[in-house]
Amino acid sequence: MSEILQYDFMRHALMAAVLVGGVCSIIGVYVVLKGLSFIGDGVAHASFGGVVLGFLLGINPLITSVLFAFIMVGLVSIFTGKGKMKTDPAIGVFFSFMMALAILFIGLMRSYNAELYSYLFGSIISVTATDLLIMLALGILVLGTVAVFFKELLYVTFDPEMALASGIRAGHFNFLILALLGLTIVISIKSVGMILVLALIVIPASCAHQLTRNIKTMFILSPLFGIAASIGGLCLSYYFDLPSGATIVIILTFIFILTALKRKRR
Amino acid sequence: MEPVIQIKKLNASYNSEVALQDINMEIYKGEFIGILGPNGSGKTTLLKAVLGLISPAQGEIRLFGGPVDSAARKRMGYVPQKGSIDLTFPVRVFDAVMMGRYPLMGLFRYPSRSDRIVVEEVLKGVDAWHLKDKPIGELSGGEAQRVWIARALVSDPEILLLDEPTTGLDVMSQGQIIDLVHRIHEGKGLTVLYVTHEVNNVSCYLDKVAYLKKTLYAYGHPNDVIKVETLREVYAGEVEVIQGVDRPLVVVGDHCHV
Repeated sequence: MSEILQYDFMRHALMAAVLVGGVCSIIGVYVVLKGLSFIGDGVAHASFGGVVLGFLLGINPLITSVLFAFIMVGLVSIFTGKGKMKTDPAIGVFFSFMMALAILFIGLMRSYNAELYSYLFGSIISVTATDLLIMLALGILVLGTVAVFFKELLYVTFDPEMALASGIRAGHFNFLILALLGLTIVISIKSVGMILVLALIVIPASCAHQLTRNIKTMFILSPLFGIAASIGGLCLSYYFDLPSGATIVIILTFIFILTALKRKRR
Repeated sequence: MEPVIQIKKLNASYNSEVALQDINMEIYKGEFIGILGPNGSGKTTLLKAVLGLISPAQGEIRLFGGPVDSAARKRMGYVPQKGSIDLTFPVRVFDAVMMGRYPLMGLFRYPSRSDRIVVEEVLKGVDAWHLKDKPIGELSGGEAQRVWIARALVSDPEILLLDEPTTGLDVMSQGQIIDLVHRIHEGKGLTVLYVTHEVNNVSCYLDKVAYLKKTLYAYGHPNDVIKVETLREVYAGEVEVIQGVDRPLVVVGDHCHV
């Protein structure tokens, strides 16, 4: 472990792993309980489109990916509002549209950009100090918002109709959950990549869901799994020279299978 | 006296079908109102319109003399139809009931000692305190209804709306729920809107009965409203009304008899 810590890039990577593992697995509780995996995947693809546009225009890809994540959430909210359309096909439509934009932007670049690759598959060891600062700021924003609105978010996740009937602005808070999910994906996309980010969001919370029927315990277990798997995966990938994102997700999947077996035995 | 709920010329749609037409009702403080009618007659739509969960296509609803807004909703407690609550959600009875107090706490606040005392008292009042640590998925039908009634009561509402709280329960549990609602109505002087299929086991407590089938067929005291002519219109013929000792009893769809 001390050997790992003597390199700057590994110290950054470890901090990124803790941050991403923690934030993803907290938001993941809402994603798992509310059934938002598909929109999460859609937002991940949309923010990748934003990243490509950032490179194309020569602006910070974090800015454009936040923008695209919000456009995706906004489009789906507009088309599904007031029961106009089912959520599933609405996501399907704009998911593909956003990916098409990403491919279009790549085509327009005309030159190969190796850094794009790290946003696609994740490259936690290329996280810079500046990246970390932005991730930290956004991470505090996400977790702070969750802490401030914890009870409202919990109520609209559990029973949106009752929340609305008792005077909570459920529509606003439903949108807030999607916005937080979008920010979480943007924070994580460079470390674990667009393709694997959903795993880091969904799997830790699913493991926790297997083990407890108490929401409070779930909010403790989920980040424990998320952070442990992120650090463990990073260390393994360092010693065995493996891709870090994939190693983290494979560890998480093993934890998931173990928790599912434990639940079955219970 | 001003009505606590005033429904004027209400038209409302549900899932893009007209569910309610030209409904006019005035409900006064402390009344126990039974809302009856066959399946798909708009009973649930009426409750949802009163709660502001669906907006009227035409007409108006006024609560406490004002509009249906978030302030008015905080003065109402709602027990939704069975099946609308996700019972796999990982939450324990105590925490689920506490959610009923969330809207009163305001932003940035967590449940305080006094909130916990209220939840404890209400859970004891509905005889569900012993269930406080159970995950909601492990409750029986009758237990779950008592818990959802508790959740509706912890905000100390002035109006309680219940959507078929006894559907799917065995006869014993049905009786317990009706006694509980009656006790709450008497004890707290609450205004109660009670949607049900089964009028006989509750009609002795009701101040008024509303018979709905898209439009309001009849609205008044049970003895005045529960008449075979009215009910045959609402239930398309297959109804008998038998005069019981103190009140009329309704038999719907008695094929042996007809």
